[in-house]
Amino acid sequence: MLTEQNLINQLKQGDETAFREIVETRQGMVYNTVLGLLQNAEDAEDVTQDVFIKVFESVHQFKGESAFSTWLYRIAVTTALEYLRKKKRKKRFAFVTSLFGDDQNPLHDPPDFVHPGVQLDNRENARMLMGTLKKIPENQRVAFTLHKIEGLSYQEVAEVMQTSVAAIESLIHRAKQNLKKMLKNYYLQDK
Amino acid sequence: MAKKEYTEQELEAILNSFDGIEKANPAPFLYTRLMARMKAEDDNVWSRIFQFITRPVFAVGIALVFLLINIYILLNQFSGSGEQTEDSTQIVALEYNSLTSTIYDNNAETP
Repeated sequence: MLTEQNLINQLKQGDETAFREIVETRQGMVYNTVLGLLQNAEDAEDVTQDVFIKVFESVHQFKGESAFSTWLYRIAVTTALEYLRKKKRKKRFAFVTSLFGDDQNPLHDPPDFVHPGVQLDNRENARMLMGTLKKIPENQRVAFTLHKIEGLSYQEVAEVMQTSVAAIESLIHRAKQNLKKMLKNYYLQDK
Repeated sequence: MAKKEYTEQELEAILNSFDGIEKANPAPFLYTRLMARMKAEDDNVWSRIFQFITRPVFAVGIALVFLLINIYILLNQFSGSGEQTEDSTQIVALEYNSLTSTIYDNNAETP
C-alpha cells in the first residue's frame, strides 16, 4: 500500500496505477460533494469524471501546502459551480431560441431531487430543503453542503473555501436564516 | 394550492433533515468509464480544437481583433485622406493651368 505522498509523486510522473488508486479511493467523496451541489445524478457522474481529469492534468500544480483531500474538494467544488453556471447560460440561450420557435432541446432539471443517502423518514423534508438550497447564495450553499452533506467540520470547510472558521460559522448561520425565511412560505398542494 | 406556514419546530426538522445522511457513491466502474473518456478525448484532437474555438472567450477575442483592425484601417484612411485630397487638387489645378489659357494669354502681345 502506497502512502499518499508516494501516490501523488507517482501521479506527477503520469503513473496510471497511482491514478487508479486515487480514483478508486476518492471517487465517493468527490461524487457526494458534487451531487450535493448539482442535485442531479447524471450531471454529478460527468462532473466527477471532469474532476479526476483535472486532477490528472494539474497534479504538478499541487505543492502540498494543504492536504490532498482539501485540494481535491476545492477542484470538485469549483468544477461543480462552473458546470452550474454553464448550465444556467445554456438555459438562458435555450429560452432565447425557444422564443424564435427552435426549442427542440428544452433544458430542465427534474424538480424533486432527493439525495440517495437521506434517511427514509426524512425524505420529504430533505426534498424541500434541497429545493430551497438552490435559491440561496453560492458561497452559503457550498458551506452548508460541505458541512451537512459531506460531513466536514467547520475547520475543514474553512480550508476548502480558503477562509476563516469564523467566516464559515457566519456563512452557515446566514444560510440557515435564508433557508428558514424561504421555507416559511413554502407552498404545498392540498392532499 | 394551499399556503402552509411552518412552525419553528417544523422548520428546524426540515433544516436538520440531512442528519444521519449516508454518502452517495457513483455507479460502479467509474475508473473504466473515466479512462475510456480520457482516451477518446486524447484521440479526438479536432474536437478539442472545436471546443476551444467555440468558447465565448475565443469568440469575443476574435470579434475584438476584427474591431481593432477595422478601427486601425479607418483611422489610417482618415489621416491619409487629407494629404491625398490636397495632392489631387494640386494636380488638377496644374493640369487646368497648363491646358486652358487665360484671356491675357490670348491677347498677349508678342514683340
